[in-house]
Amino acid sequence: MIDKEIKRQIIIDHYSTPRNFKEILAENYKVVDLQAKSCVDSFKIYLDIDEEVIKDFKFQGKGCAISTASISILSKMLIDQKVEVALEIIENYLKMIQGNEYDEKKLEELVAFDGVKNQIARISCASLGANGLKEELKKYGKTK
Amino acid sequence: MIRDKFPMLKNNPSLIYFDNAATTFKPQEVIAKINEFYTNSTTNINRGDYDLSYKISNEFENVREIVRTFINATSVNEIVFTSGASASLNTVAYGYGLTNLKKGDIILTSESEHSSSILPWFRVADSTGAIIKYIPLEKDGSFSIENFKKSMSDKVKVVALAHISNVLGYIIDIKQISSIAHSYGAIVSIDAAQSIGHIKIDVKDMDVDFLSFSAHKLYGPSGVGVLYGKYHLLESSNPYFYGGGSNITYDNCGNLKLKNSPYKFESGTSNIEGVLGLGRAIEFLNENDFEKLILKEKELTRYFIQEISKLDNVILYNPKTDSSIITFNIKGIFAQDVCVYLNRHNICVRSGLHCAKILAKVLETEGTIRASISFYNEKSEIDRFIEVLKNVTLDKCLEDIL
Ligand SMILES: Cc1ncc(COP(=O)(O)O)c(C=O)c1O
Repeated sequence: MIDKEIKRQIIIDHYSTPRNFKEILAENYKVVDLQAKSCVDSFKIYLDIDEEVIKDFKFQGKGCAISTASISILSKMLIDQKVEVALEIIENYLKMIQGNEYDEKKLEELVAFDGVKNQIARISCASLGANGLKEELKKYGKTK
Repeated sequence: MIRDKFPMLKNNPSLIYFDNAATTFKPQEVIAKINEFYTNSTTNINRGDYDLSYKISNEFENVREIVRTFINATSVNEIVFTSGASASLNTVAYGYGLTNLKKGDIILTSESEHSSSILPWFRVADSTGAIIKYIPLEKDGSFSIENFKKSMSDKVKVVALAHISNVLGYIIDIKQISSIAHSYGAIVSIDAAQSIGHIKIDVKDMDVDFLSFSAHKLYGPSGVGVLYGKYHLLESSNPYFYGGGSNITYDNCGNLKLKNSPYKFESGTSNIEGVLGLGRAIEFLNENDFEKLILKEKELTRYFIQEISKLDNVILYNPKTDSSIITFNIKGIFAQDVCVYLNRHNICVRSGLHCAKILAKVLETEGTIRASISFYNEKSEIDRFIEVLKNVTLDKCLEDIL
């Protein structure tokens, strides 16, 4: 468990200055289209995956503080990770969001969202990016 | 007090409900009417073989007369019961549009329409080769009668507009629009979902050709609504739904003779309790002096605008709103984050684009907060709301999840 104040700082920092926030048009990037079902949050994630390693991760779009900050943190953490490891991090993060047991050590700044599980309305905000990434990376793993 | 007649308000005294544009609460009498149907009067209608069915069929048909009077239609045969505004709007597009439009005809609409008003026309345009054109809005998102005039031509066959935009709440002058549209030979279909509960509507005076609305935004039940159409236009429209008792005869050579309007549009067992509830809701408004209630609502909205305009942290998108819809944002905080914070203070407002996604381009924002007032709201609720809004920060919005 980390301090409330630190969690607040992490989320606000990543919301107000999201990392890797850039539109990519290059053809070698996979585009993951994220559209929330019950709100207007909408993002695109651009992934450059080479030899089972995520070489680059950029994203663009608009959403609430929680969806934006969670994707920003994921982008920071997943660049240069193997797809396999990325999936582990994402799975672990989703477990935390859904209130299941998880491994805190793997999550770095993502632990800022450990309180989301208590707010049903915000679970979908916090999972928007992670769910989309999971689908895409799983697909990628199989075709390789 | 009018509030006492609404169980939702009585049973939830700390709730501040400012989402009346999404749906309204129901008076006790409406709930009792529906309950009565299920507890003492359950039957199907138009099967007059026994007293109960006969009685309820009569009551059901009597609601047509209640609606007719409420909107001042000429005949009960112009009142079609549907499952709601969306179904009514689809019936106009498929029923009238598919039958009467051809390649190159123009369907004229605006950029602030609800998806239920515009999407059926997308399909009609696809099937018929008709073209959808948008009347450019004013800079502030309001409707421009000048731009409407400029957009009119002999090619325009349908003018499809919302009486009140569900995003910005501006009221448009339907009477003037009908008169201009008719001078070019176009028909006018009005989406009255947002106006029916807030403006006295007179279809004859407005001279509209079609008018659609839902009961649930008029203090009635969900899943029921009305399509008004001038009789000759309903007659020249086809249902997009077949079966049930909507026909007179058919044979196995494929010959089919439909009933006249409104019955040809009402295939299958209707939402009987819904229609009865709608009738009761309108009677409730009549008995409680609807026009006076509307005035109270206007006064509350003026007060709301006056107070929210004083806040430095608020961007107000429709300061000139003339309905009871107020659209705003808090500087630097995403709409949904604000709504979550308001929810914690038991205040119900809506975030999002309220189905009019095209309007995002005009407002240059991805999301807004919409508060919408009813006559049963109180000044004290507005005061409490303003107090909460005054102190909102991004920090506070996140408090719940930390
Ligand atoms: C302007 C407008 N048109 C149509 C509708 C659709 O109404 P319903 O969902 O009751 O069919 C709504 C409801 O939000 C609306 O605001």
